[in-house]
Amino acid sequence: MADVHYTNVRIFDGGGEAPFMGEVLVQGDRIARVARSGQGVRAAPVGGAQVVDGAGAFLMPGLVEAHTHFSWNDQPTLDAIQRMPPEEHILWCAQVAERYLDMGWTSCVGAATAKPRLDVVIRNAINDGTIVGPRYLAASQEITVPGGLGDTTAPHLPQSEFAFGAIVSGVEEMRRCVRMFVKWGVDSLKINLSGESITGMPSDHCQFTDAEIAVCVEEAKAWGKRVSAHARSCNSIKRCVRHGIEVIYHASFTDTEALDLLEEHKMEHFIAPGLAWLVNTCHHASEWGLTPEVTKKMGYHRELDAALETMQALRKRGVRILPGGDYGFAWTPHGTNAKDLEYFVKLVGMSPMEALLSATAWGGPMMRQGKSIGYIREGCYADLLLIDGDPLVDIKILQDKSRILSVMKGGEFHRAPPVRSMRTTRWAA
Amino acid sequence: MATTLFTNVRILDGAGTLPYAGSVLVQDNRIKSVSRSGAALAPTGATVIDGAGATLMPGMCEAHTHFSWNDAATLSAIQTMPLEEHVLWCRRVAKRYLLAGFTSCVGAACAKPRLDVVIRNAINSGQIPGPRYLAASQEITVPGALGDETLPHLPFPEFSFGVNVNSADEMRKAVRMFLKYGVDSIKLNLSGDNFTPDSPAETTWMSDAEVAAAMDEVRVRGKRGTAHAR
Repeated sequence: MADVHYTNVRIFDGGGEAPFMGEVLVQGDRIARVARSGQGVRAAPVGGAQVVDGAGAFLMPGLVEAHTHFSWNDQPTLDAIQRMPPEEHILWCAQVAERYLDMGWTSCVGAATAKPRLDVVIRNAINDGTIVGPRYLAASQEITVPGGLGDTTAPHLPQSEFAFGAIVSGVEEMRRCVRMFVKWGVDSLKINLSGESITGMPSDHCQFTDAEIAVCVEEAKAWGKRVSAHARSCNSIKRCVRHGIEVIYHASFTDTEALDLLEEHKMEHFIAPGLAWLVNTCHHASEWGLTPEVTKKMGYHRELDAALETMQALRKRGVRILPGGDYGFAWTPHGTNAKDLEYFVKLVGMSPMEALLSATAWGGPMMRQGKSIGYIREGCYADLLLIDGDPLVDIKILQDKSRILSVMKGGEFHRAPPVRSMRTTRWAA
Repeated sequence: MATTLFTNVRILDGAGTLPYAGSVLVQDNRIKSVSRSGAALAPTGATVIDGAGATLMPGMCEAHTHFSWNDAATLSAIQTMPLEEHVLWCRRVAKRYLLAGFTSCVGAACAKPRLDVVIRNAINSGQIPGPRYLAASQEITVPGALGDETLPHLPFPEFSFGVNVNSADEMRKAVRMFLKYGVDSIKLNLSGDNFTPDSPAETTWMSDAEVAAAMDEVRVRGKRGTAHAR
């Protein structure tokens, strides 16, 4: 691995301050030096390092996706995901993993997988270099109850292979299920605590007994694993706090008690609302039969309003809200994930700075990496994006692959920057 | 796809004659023209590769390929690789063949029912890089013969490297299953192999009736039969 010396870059270091002109030296897989420089002033060259003259481009930490499903296959239904055979499915996951890295997501937190081992195998294959992809935390399947969200078996097809989720009923079945996923090597257990209107079970309904949830959390913690929950309903959000479920996905419907609980325990939880699913299901899914009239009847418009109100309130209360969520359906294809940051700015009221921090500074702890990722600081992993333009002015440029000039993960270029002759002159903003 | 002109190359054209100096023009996925002149004009927009006298030859064709053999020492070590890892292994090996100059490979058997078919399809759809590929079935064998890796206390088919059949009818069923999955060829283990001492190379265990049933089905569907025949 060659050392890389970025010069003449505008550095957004993940700390929340305004970007500054400077240079960054990468040695091995880490950031070795960050130096401020005046415009036009060059620091002494470093022997043996490849020099990347950024020409004023924006250098930022790699993005962290908080709610990733590699195995969702850009299809319109859960059933269509489940009908993909395992051989094709693992190839799909490998292809998608690379797509995330292409788009600047150098870390992803798996939020559930469609067959028991897909996430674990992909994480291991990324780590041992068999395939190319972001840093990854592997999830279990969605654990659900008979008839609940993720139970896609049919009366005449009761076989578990037909089910999208892992179906349990009773505390001992839950315990066995958690232990099985732990045996396969997952980093987190995903439990479906609320419904999801598109499947016929309304989003504001709950499932599971408290005893079942308690066993899930108890077993997961005994093995040092994390629990994450699909929790759209108000009661399911409260259950996450009460049971110590660290990652709360969606969190659409809240009351004052729920907001107070989340605020009181804000450093114990991460919220990833997955707004792209709600926005696009409501407004951009007509091609698949989900016209606004249909999705209004399902209750998604009401939920979108509720979710935005909740996120605005949580933002004001300082609760950590992270991007990512349920990309991998036909109307939310993988790779378009930076739309979440646009929604945070446009719909939740975050400043572009807050939106960037939600994808960087909060990403380290979300990846269980503390402050070793998500920052451009000495000693951090060199997960770096070179951006053409300023996301603090226009957050949407992160959705455009051509504006992401290079992607580095752990000191290695996944996409190297284009050479000078291919570019026009660039002026620092 | 682009236009590429190889100039100043020594052309080994595959017909058995001595190489000659010349240039080759490639348009899209075909060879458009071959010239004995070193000074062919490049069409507009062509990428010109000056070979500087290097030899230009057709891609090599591998006639007996097992993407799913995983560089392990035993058949059992191949079979204990889980399905998901096995697919990713095949994906990786397919690229290795292409990088080594084998632009075509003929699958000679795979270790789990659909590995070869899935990899062939993924190459053809552009999802993964790899050579042109003909997908094979698993090795079809008879109980106790080469490829039957089950053990007395582990009789499950998933433990077996090959598919065990025991009668013409079972053979027909196994062959039909592989044809349903989309294989290009059916692999029969007609002889043993000294690698498996209980069924050595000079033994032949499969009956004529079983072989005939397999070939009957293969012909009906216009596919190819291949044999391990020492």
